[in-house]
Amino acid sequence: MKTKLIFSFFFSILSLLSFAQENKEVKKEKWTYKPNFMVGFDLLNAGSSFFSDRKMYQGFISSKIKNDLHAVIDAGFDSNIYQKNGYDVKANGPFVKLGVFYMLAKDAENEFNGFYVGGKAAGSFYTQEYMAIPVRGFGGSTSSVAFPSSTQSSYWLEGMIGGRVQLFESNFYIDVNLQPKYMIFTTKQDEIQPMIVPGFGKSSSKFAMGFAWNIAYKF
Amino acid sequence: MKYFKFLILTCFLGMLFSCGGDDDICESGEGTPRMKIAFKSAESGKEVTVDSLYVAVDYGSGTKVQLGKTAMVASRLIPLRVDDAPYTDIYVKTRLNSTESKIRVNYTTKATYVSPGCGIKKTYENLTTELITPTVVKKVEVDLNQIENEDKTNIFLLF
Repeated sequence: MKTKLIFSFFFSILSLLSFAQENKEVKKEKWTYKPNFMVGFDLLNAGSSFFSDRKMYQGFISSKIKNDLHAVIDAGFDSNIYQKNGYDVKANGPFVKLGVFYMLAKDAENEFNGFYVGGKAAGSFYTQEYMAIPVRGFGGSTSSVAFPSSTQSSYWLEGMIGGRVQLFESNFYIDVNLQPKYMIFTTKQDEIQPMIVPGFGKSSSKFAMGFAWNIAYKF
Repeated sequence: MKYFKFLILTCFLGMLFSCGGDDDICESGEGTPRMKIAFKSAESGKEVTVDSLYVAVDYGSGTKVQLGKTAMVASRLIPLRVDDAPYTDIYVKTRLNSTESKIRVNYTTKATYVSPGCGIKKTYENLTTELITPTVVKKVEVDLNQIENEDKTNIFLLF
């Protein structure tokens, strides 16, 4: 009796493993990269440059690599000032970001339409000048110390959550994304924690948020 | 769904590590240290407590800033000037209507960066004192001629 049970148990497992799934002969497509590019420019930050102290111009080039995976390169230039709580700082310089994003949900008709998440590694190489760093004193006796202009660099990780939508039937797309940023490493002048970093924003804390509204063209 | 969990987790971890901002306040003890004064009797040379003490300091604005009255004081912390002036004038009296003694503290300063909230702190070195108007205070002695923290007594006032 027992042997029969054991046999039937193993037989059913084996039969499940070997016969349950009908092996479909999938024709494996050899993956080849088809050149495709999308070039975008951030209109929101460029536009707000006219009205604020921060002048930021950035753009991106992205390309679909495989299935839902896209690679993206961002580059830009940012010039900013910081005048608050006794500080007087200016910094400007270029920055680059490299990363990938994954299409979470996409349009069945157009695979470039959809929502995505991704991550980027970014670096900024800039010139900063601290015209005033406050010395907090008592009874109205506050003063400041100035530091000469110097060249520094900062590196951070950036998340990417956004969406892309085709403009009517054209090759133009609107690409909107949100960028939570986390500072990893920064070079310092005399141990001074930088108050602003081009491309990153206010950097007295390690966390910052960025927003981009791009108009993109797909080649 | 997997991705959303991942997203929420990253945001949560980000929150944990993202403390600090550009409106941070400077906690006491991290900024510029104050000068500690204590008192001695001019006759015996021993440390004494003063029953009441009025202190005012000229911070360079031309008007004296009253630091107020303290009773039964063994020691007192006085913030010095943080601007580029090489001295601070301190006015001391023991009674409200008595004449003040003016003491000038000379020093050299050194600036060191602390944090975004505190900015830069100054430490004082090569402290010397001049008793400009000796009235209640008979003499001034320097005990420790540098101020790096607020633990040790820097100058003694002899009454």
